[in-house]
Amino acid sequence: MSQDPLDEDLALVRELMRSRPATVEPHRKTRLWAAIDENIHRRERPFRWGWFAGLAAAAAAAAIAVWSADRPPAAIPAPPRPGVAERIDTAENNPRPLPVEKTRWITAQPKTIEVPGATLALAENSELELGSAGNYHLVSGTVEVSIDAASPVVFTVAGAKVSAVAARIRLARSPSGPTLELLSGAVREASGFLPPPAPVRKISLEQQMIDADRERIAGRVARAIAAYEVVARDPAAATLREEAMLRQAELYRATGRSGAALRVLAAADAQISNGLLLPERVALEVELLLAAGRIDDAKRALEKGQNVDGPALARARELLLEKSEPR
Amino acid sequence: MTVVGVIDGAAVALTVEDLFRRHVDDVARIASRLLGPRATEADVDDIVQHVFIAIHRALPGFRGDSDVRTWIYGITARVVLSQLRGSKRYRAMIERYGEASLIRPQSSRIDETVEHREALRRVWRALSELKAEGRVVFVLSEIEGWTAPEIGAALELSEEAVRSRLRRAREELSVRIKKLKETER
Repeated sequence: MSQDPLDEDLALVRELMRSRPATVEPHRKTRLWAAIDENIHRRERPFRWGWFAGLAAAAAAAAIAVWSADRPPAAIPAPPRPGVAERIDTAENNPRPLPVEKTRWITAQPKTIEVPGATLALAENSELELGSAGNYHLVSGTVEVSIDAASPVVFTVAGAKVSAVAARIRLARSPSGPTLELLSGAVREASGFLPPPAPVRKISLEQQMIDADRERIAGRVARAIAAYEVVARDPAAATLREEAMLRQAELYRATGRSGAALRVLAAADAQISNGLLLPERVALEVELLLAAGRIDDAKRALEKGQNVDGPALARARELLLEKSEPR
Repeated sequence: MTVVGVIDGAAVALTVEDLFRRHVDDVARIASRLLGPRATEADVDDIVQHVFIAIHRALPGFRGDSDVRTWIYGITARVVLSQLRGSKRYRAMIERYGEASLIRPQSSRIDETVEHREALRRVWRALSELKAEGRVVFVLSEIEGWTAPEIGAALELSEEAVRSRLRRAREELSVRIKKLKETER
């Protein structure tokens, strides 16, 4: 009688299909929990009515400021004079739309910004109304102003271009050099042009952790310990701190420095009473204490793990049992 | 609010973090077996995250009248099921089953290794063609070794429904594997 083809194949491969790693590595576990924890807390975060009200009030104030701003009469380009720019592109003489990027409202008081090395030369007290579509905003910093045909006025701030959006400006020469003054009470910040924000700290810490792992795997123990130390000391380390400290303690043990390992584990206990890696920490502490012949201390250490379990703790319990048995 | 569950016969207060610590290995293992050998670690992690977020949402409603483990495994199976049904990413993953050799040599004998590899490829390929419901029930039964009542409790199905799905899955798999063998000759 011929066997079922499925049974035939299953007989060959059932064990292979079961052969997946039985445990998740501590490093991966930590990352997984960090992601889950963040997600859970994001869901739980209540809607902040206070912030909403504050934002609404700020938006209303900004709108009122724009409406109530003193608007000068129709734009009259300044006539060319010696030392004055021959042509200044405005909304009137250059109808091409100005680039408008993603914007957000900020409040701004009228202020004067230094314009060293400006290529735009204006007579003293000359004013420039760029029209309703051609208004500009500057963020603080060193500003360079130039004019070309492609983009009428470009302000360069710390390497990022900040483009015109929606505020009236007056360009004027100050006694010390060219200045640029914002007249309106509310301006838009062309945040799309600003330099990209600094990398999120968490990513940077994770990268440090990866670097530390690399040192450890390469066998550069001292450098790995130092790298884990940096992560562990970082106030923003959160869930990575526990893993960094555990790794440090493991490396100390591997290099025969049990005292240092126990000190790191004690510090971890003080800072993280009930972390995800508690079973591994307790197990390591028990093993270190048993190796030093401190059986009673090992028993006390094991009590910290009485509400948790895991393969590491099971091994530690067995070890303790072996050492405690009378010979 | 404290939710109390029974773990190893003792009543304990449950938090998602405790459950994660106790069960993440099992959840990852079940997820990876249900997803199959072409699932990457990222695929499995994705499922694990979904599972524990689902546990967090469902925890206040957990009455403790079933074993915590069964409850969690049930959520895992259902999350995998919904991912298998709904996501293009998972469908694409399933489609990759037949593309490459799936195992490392287990034996020094080349013919034996080839035979194993081909059998494994056939089984996963046939499984990938099954409906998600049948596939999950089959994997839980054949690979995880769950009983029909355990699968029923996890997937909220009657025992009869589990047996029926399992029977159908086996029949379909058998036919598909037979066809695959014939085309290979």
